[in-house]
Formats: sequence, C-alpha cells, structure tokens
Amino acid sequence: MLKIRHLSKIFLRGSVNENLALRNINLTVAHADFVTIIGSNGAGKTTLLNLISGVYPPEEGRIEINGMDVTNLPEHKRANFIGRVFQSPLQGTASSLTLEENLAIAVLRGKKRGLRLAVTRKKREEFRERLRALGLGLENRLQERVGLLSGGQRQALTIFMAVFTKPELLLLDEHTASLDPKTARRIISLTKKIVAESRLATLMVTHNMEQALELGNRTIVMEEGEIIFDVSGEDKKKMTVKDLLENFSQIKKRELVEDKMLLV
Amino acid sequence: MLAGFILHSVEEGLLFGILALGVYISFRVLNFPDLSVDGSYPLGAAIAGIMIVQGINPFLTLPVAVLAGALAGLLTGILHTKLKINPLLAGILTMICLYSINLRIMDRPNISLSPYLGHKTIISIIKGLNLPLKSIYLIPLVFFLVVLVLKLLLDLFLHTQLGLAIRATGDNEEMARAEGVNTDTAKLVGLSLSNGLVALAGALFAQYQGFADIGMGIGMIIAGLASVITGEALIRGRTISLITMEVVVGAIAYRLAIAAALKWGYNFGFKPTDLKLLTGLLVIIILAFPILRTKIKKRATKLQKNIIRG
Repeated sequence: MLKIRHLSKIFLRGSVNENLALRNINLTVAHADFVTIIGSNGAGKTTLLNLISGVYPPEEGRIEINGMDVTNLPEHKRANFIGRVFQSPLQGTASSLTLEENLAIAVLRGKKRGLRLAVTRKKREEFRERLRALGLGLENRLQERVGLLSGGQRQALTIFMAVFTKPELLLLDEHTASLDPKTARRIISLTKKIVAESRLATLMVTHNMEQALELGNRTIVMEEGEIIFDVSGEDKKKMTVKDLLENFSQIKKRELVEDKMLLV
Repeated sequence: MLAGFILHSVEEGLLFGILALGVYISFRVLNFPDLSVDGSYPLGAAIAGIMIVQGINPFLTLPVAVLAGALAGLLTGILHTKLKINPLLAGILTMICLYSINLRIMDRPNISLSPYLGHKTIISIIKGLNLPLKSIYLIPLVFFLVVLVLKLLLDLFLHTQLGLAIRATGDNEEMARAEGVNTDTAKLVGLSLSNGLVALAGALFAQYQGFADIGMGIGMIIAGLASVITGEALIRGRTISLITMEVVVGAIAYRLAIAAALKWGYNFGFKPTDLKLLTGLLVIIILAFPILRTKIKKRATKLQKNIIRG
C-alpha cells in the first residue's frame, strides 16, 4: 500500500542551521494497517507525514502508494489518495465557508472543478444523510459558516471530509493535541469508528504513549529522524507504556554511550 | 443642482463599483494584495481610447479591455505562483511594466474622446438613442444595470466548483491543497478575473469622462480598497451576495464622500489636487477604526474606575 524507501529530508541545506530532519527512512504499510507514530519533539514525525502528503519534496528517496511512484506528484494531486487531518482544527477547514461548501470542496478531490454549481440539492441531501450517520448533529447546520463550530466539531468535520471520497491513506497529525481531554476522547473514538468502517491504511502521530499503544495494530517510535522501534500484532497488544519507556531508554542509553565515546 | 451633483457621483460610484468588485476578488476572496490594479485600470482606458479613435465600435472595446486586463492579472499570478515573487512585489512589477505598455498602446500620454472630433463612445450612442427617459437619468440607469448583471454573475461564479476552490484558497491554502485544489490555478483564475473587471471599469470610465490618460490609474488600488472597506463598514454582510452588494454600495458612498469633500472642502482649505490625500486619509481612518475604538474604550473604562475610586 504505502512503501517508503531511503527517504531523507534536510531543511535549510547548506546553511549554518542545516537540519537533517529525516535519515534514510524505510517503511512499508499494508492495507488496513493502523500505525501509530510516537517520538519526542523534533523526531521527524510531522516531517514524515508532510513528505508523504507532498507538502515539500524529499532530498532523497522514493514514496509509493499502491505501487505508483508519487515522489514527484504535487500535493493537490496526491490528495486523490490521501486524506489528512491536522493538529489544529483551524487547519483542516475553511472558516469563512459554510459546512456544506467545505464538504463540496472535499467531494471534488481528484476531480475537475468547473463552472457547475458546487452545492446542488442532491449533494446537500447526500451530505445530510451521511452526516446524520456521524451522530453529531452537524446535519442540521449545513448552511452555517464553519468558523462558528467548536474546535471538536471542526475536527470531526475534517475527519469526515478526509475520508468522504474513500482515499487509500489517512494521515492524522496529532489531531487531538489542541482539544480539551473530553473532546479529544470523543474525537479518538470517532477516529476508531471511521478507520474501522473504511478499513483504510492510517498513520497517526501522537504524543500520548498510552494512546499510541491502545490504538491501531502497529506502533513505531521515531527519534532524531529515524525509526528506532517498530512493534505490531501480538507483541504490540502485550506491550505496556512501561515496556515502551524501557525500550526507549535502552536505545537512548546506547546512543548516549556512543556519543560519549565520540567525545573521548 | 444638488440632484445633478448626486447623480454624477452615483454614476462615477457605479463605475467604481466594477473596479471595487475586482479589488474585492483579489484582496478579500483570494487574500492577495494585488497592486497591478493601478496598471490594469488605465490599460482598459488606453484600449478603449485607441480603438474608439480608430473608429471601432465602442462596445467592442469592452471585451478587448477585459481580455487585456485578464492577461495583466495572469502575469501577476505567474510572477507569484511560478516564480515565487512576493504578492506585493509581483503586483508592482506588473503595474510598472503596464505603464510603458499603456503608453505604447495609446502612443501618447492622453487621448481625448469627443463627439466634436467625431468619436463614438458608448455614452454618446446611449444619449443618441432618443429614448423617452432623459439622458441624465438614462446613463445612471444603464450603469446600474451593468453593475447589477456583473454583481449577479460574480455571485454565481463564487458558488461554482471553481469559485469555491478560489474562495478556499484565499481562506485556507493548506486546507485547499489537502483537499486537492490546485491553489496556483485558483490564484491565476482569480487574479485574471479581478484585473479583467478592473480594466472593464477603466474602459467604461474613459468613455464616460471623455478621455484616457496615462496617469488615471494612480491610486486606483486605494480607491478600490476604500470602496470595499467602506461597504464592509456600512453593511457587514456574511453571504456572498450581500458582500458584493456592499462593495458596490461602498463604491458609491466613497465617490459621494470624495465629491462632497471636493465641492465643499475648499471652505476648509482643500484643493481638487488633494483628492488622493483625502482618499488615503479615509482609508487610514477606516482601517485604524477598530484599533482606535478599543483604545478609546479602554481609556474610558479606566477613567470610569478612577472616578468611582476617587
């Protein structure tokens, strides 16, 4: 499904602030895989998602989706296969547009946008039907501007828009990090439901280790631009936060020792 | 006398309304401060002027002006999207290039359009129709209908799939790209449309005032912006059709205010040459208003507290 080979990203190349954000990442994600990604700040989690979605090009490496090389495909064309949800609810929707207008933009992902009316009566009915199944009451607010919705509602709408056209891959970038705990839990259960229903391959970045272990069938840990740990299936189910931390600190310790050796 | 003064300002305001709709598309819909307007407005005027002088049907000047304006907008758009030049600079570059191009088109800095010279303009044709309505009412009526049709077409366009893509690009570019909108194309289409409207306004205004002048574009972007923000301050609409209406109303209000300032301003020492200064001051006041209001409010509550304490 998603195949990443030797992917590297360098920011501000050639300057004093040169930053090797990703080093030689190799990752294969199968259909219906739900992968959670954790790691400390600056580990390269968001950079990885941005490279997959085409926000910027990699310095080296190759990205394939369903056997198709998308490395040089522009961001808006990759949107055909990729649904995205961002950290801030403000990022994934357009505030000055109404709810149905936001949806109308999402349904045309990968299609030509012409001079036909964007929100037709038929489309409005379809939106209403499908939003009703979501059970958040949004079906009654189709003609309200999205700026009037709460952060949780906007994030729910973004997830809904991301999967509306049934993409191949869903990218969630700490999509509950800026919500209050209660709303975050609601969005997580909505995420679970939607991913389970649509069975699409999902990558979810999170800061929360518990969440990372609870959700999905595979967890990877990133540190300084590399994948340092990858657990899935039965091993993951048995894993606790304590195990994860131990693993993490062992890897860290080893690195520290190596650094010390360099200094000596 | 006063009726004539008001009618005259309304006529000018309606033509400025077309310009303001163009400025609304770039500044508000696309969130792109496009300064090419100062060049595309006289571009439309230059095209109308030279075509009419050569005896071409004045109605034909309008589509040609729109097309030329759209190309100017396209240039600004390409400078920004493909060559990654900052929006303000891209607009200024187009504007400065257009100065020479407009001189080339006109072949002189000023073209006079006058029935006495045998020139047929849209205005002279309308006046010659011998309709039962007096021409001082007929001209504003025709202008009103033209602006109304343009406004309704723009409303419709902004609700199409393409129009929505342009609005999303201006509102949240990150979201637009994530939802598969080619934001470069959206900007190019929006800027072309914007400058096409601006050039149309220029072509009509040249025929209305009876001349095209190389300097008539100076400060037009501010005039357009003044119309847009005056309208926003007056009406504060949320739907597209209300907003485009307020833009046109703002243009008329702006022209009325400027005309009044020029007519009666000399009592306070203003001269006709102070027009651009007045426009600039008007825009500054309207832009600064929200900040000044909160500051005044703060000071007022502070004073109140002191009084209570004292």
